[in-house]
Order: sequence, then C-alpha cells, then structure tokens
Amino acid sequence: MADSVMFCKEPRQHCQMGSSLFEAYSSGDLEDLQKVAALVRCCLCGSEDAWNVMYRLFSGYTRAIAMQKGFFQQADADDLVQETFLRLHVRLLRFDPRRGALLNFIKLVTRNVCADEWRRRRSTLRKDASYYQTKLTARSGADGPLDQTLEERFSGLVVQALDALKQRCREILRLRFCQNLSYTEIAEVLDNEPTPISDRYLKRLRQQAHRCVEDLREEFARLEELGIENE
Amino acid sequence: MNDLKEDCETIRRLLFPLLDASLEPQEEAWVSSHVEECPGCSKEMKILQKIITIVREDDEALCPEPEELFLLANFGDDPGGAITAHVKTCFKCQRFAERCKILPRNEIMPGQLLEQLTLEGRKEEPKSSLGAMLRQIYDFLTLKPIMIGAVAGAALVVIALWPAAYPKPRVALSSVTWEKPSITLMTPFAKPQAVPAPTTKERLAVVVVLENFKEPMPQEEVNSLYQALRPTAAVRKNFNILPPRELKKFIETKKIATEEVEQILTKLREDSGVAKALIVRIVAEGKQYAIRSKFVDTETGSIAKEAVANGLTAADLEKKLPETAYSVMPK
Repeated sequence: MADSVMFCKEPRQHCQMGSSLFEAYSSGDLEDLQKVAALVRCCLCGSEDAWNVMYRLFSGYTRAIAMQKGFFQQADADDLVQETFLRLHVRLLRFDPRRGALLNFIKLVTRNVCADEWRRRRSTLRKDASYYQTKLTARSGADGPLDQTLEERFSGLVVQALDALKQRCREILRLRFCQNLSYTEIAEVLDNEPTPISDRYLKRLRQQAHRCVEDLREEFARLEELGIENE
Repeated sequence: MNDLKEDCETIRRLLFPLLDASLEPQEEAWVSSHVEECPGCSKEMKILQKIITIVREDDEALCPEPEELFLLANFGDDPGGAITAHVKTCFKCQRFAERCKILPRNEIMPGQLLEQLTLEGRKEEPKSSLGAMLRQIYDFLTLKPIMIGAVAGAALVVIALWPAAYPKPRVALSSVTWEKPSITLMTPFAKPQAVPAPTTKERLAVVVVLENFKEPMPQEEVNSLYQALRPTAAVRKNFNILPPRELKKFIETKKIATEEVEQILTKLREDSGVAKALIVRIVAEGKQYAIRSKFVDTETGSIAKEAVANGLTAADLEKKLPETAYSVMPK
C-alpha cells in the first residue's frame, strides 16, 4: 500500500480508501499487519470511512462478547457496543499490530467495558461478584485485583489448565460436565457413532475421559507449583 | 508403609472413575473406604471435586475464543475443523457465531457515535492517572450516600408492604423423570439434559411455581404434582421435553435461587436452548388452591395462552392440574 494511503498526514482528513478497506477485510485479511495498521491509523486520524469499516467489521463481535455471559440483554449490549467504540478511540493509540491481533485487542477492550459496567450495576445483576471477576481475570489477561482471593486464584488456574488440554479432551469434558451427557450420547454427538454403541467403544471413551481428567489435574498441579515458585 | 503409598497412587487414579460411577461395586467400596480413612486421598478427592465443579460452572472455558468463532463465522477459518465440530454441539457458540457476523456494506455507524469519534479528533489519555483516580473517588463519594439512602428507603417500603406471612413465589423442584428408569450409567453426575438435537422440535420446560404457601410443600407432594403433569403423547410429539429432574439439576448446578423465576427461564433459554415454557402456578388461597397456567415463549416473554382454575381443594388439585396446565398448549 502507498504511504499516503497508509498514513494520514492531516488530522480529520478523510481516507479515500473506505470501500477498498472494507473489501480488504471482507475477504478475511485481518492478519495482514499493513492493512491493520492502515485501518488503525485512519481511525486515529478521524476518518469516517475507517470508523464505518471498524463498525461493520466488529460491532457484531463486540455485541456478541457483551451478551456472552448472559449478564447483559440486547438493549444493554447496544450501549456497551457504543461505549466500546468510544473507548477504542482512546485505546487504539496503544495498539501495536506486531504485538497482537486486532480481534484479541478489541475483545479485551470489550470485556473491560463490560466489567466496568457490571461493577457499576452489580447490585442489580448476579450477586456472585467474584465469579465474573474470576472469568475476566483468567480469560482476558486483564489485570486482576492485587488482592485476588484464593478461590479466584484456584478458578483461574483451572481455566488455564483447561486451555492446555487437547481439543478432543476439552470437548469430552464439556459434553460430560457442562451438558451432562452420558457416554452413549457423547459417542453419538462427538464421533457420530451409529447406535447401538458397542460396549468396547464406550469403555474406550470412558478411559479417554478419565485420562483427560488426569491430564487436567496434572496441569493444574504444575501451574499451582509454578505460581508458588513465582511468589 | 510402601503398600499404603502404592495404594494411594492406585486410589488417586481411581478417584475420578469413582465420581463418574465407572467402577465395579467392589472397587467402589474399596476406594470409598480408603478415601474415608486416608487424609491425603480425601484431600485429593476434594480438590478433584472442586476442579470439576469449576469446569461445570465455567462451560465457556471449554469453548473456542471469541476471535476463533468470529473468523469461523465470517471467513470459514477453521484449520482442522475442531471449531466447526464444537459449534455443532454448543448452543452458546452457535448463538455467538450468529451474532458476530460482519454487517453489510450499506450499514454505517450511528450518527451520534460517528460524530464523537471523528469530529473530536484524537483523545489523549490523561498523562497522569491521578486525575482519573480523584474523579472515581469523587463519583464514589457522591454516589454512595445517595445509593445507601435509596436502598434503605426501598427496604422500608418493602418491609412495610410485604405480606410477611408469605414467602416469594418459588419454583418447585423434583427428581421425577417422567420415564421408566433405564440402565443408568452414572450416579454422582445425574442423568443428562440432552444436547438440543438438530430437529424441528422446540425444547419445552414444564415449571411448577408455588405461590402464597406459608410453609414449604412436602417433597412427596411436589413429586405428585410433577407426576400428574406427565406430558401427553401429543405434547411429546411436538416438543422435546425437559424432565423435572433435569430442571432441578440445572437450577442446582447453575446455583440460581428458586425465587428467581425469570432468571431461571432466561438461563434455560441461553444455556439449554429451551424455547418454550409451560409455567404452572399453584396459588394457595386459604384452604383452597388456584391453578394459573401459561404457555410462554422464553425468547420474547410473550404469553401465547393462559388458563385458570379456582376454588380447588387439595383432593381436586392433582386431578385438575394436567387438564388446566395442558389446555394452554398449542394443538
């Protein structure tokens, strides 16, 4: 891309590349550092086209994140999307495409906006405050409170340990623990095993589940030790 | 001593199979009795139970990251196909993927927001965070007394007006299954709620709410009510039913108070794909009862149909219950 297009020398100058920006991103080129840098620079310059591109690309994404945990409904999510874009306006100054993807950056900003809103309204939302805080701390990489409780720390380590498991293990554990499926149902859903499921297959599946839990437990122990060493 | 150590090593490998009800009766007895006597293994068991509880509560920890879902939903990015396979069985991720789609080219940002972002130009963050901190302290100090006053005032109104004799309406829980017991594979992890299958049948929850009862209804009576509400063949043909036992497990696992009827319906919709609910309110009116039944769409909250039966005795209640409750269902 030409330098004049990549960098707005004059503040509030419209980028002439609005539609081409959108075309570039619609094809899935969100990983291209040059294009990401161009988009961000145009936004920082105050380009309407660039902000419209950002909105088209990411308003659905931020809304989905805001509604993800069920704390906020549709109307709240719309306000949170607006708040996220306002905050992005400031935060994009810190964004460096060489150090992380734009999607991840936007996810973090959105979650911080949601956390701030949740704190502001926490008397009317879910009472288990530490539950939401723990998830934010463990999943988003946002700075947690310095006086993190033991329970929050425990939960955070479990979430990190889950991240280290293989995808199949994560799926088996999710279907077993979160959706409470029997091993027969897991076989049907996960592996499309035709019914009736053989006993041998079920036995193998159970053994896999048991190994996954062992791996989870070992990873948890390793992270716990690592945490203690670092203290 | 060495035997004990070896035992403990073996036992620890069997702790999860014990929780998973995968052991033979003899093994189960051996492991259980060892755990009772061995402080180390007992502690290990507690840690394992705690880990599993956290995994159950934080189901999103096992879901792909939002950015992975975004890339799949908009660009089909999924090397290996693991995310696609996950989304097929995860209602939450399906919904996320639907919501995070890129908007069409003719969509633009709301005017007011665009104006704030473009005409104001770049906003610099305050060089020092002291200003921001002082602002927060000021907001907190001015807000808190007002909040405390409002909460205290509201509490006084509630105390004055609330009929102290009657607790809030609450969902009645029961372990009734509505099915003949088949071979059960597990005990500590109770019988599942099935994954919403890719069929055209919507998922229906039947929820009994007890209102104006001075004392809790005995569990046997609650079970009888749910037994009486066993869905007819016609209802089963049109809906995928969530049995009372699964409703109970869901509410207990999600730790929702039984008085939070609206929250229960919301979570059922969001986490279990329950699209419709048959809410059957049983209201105590002195020595008589009333049944108020309604068929609700959990997404919109709209009530398709309602039915009422008043002046029922305790003997009439069970008889009248299915007739009144299911009269609101679509034919």
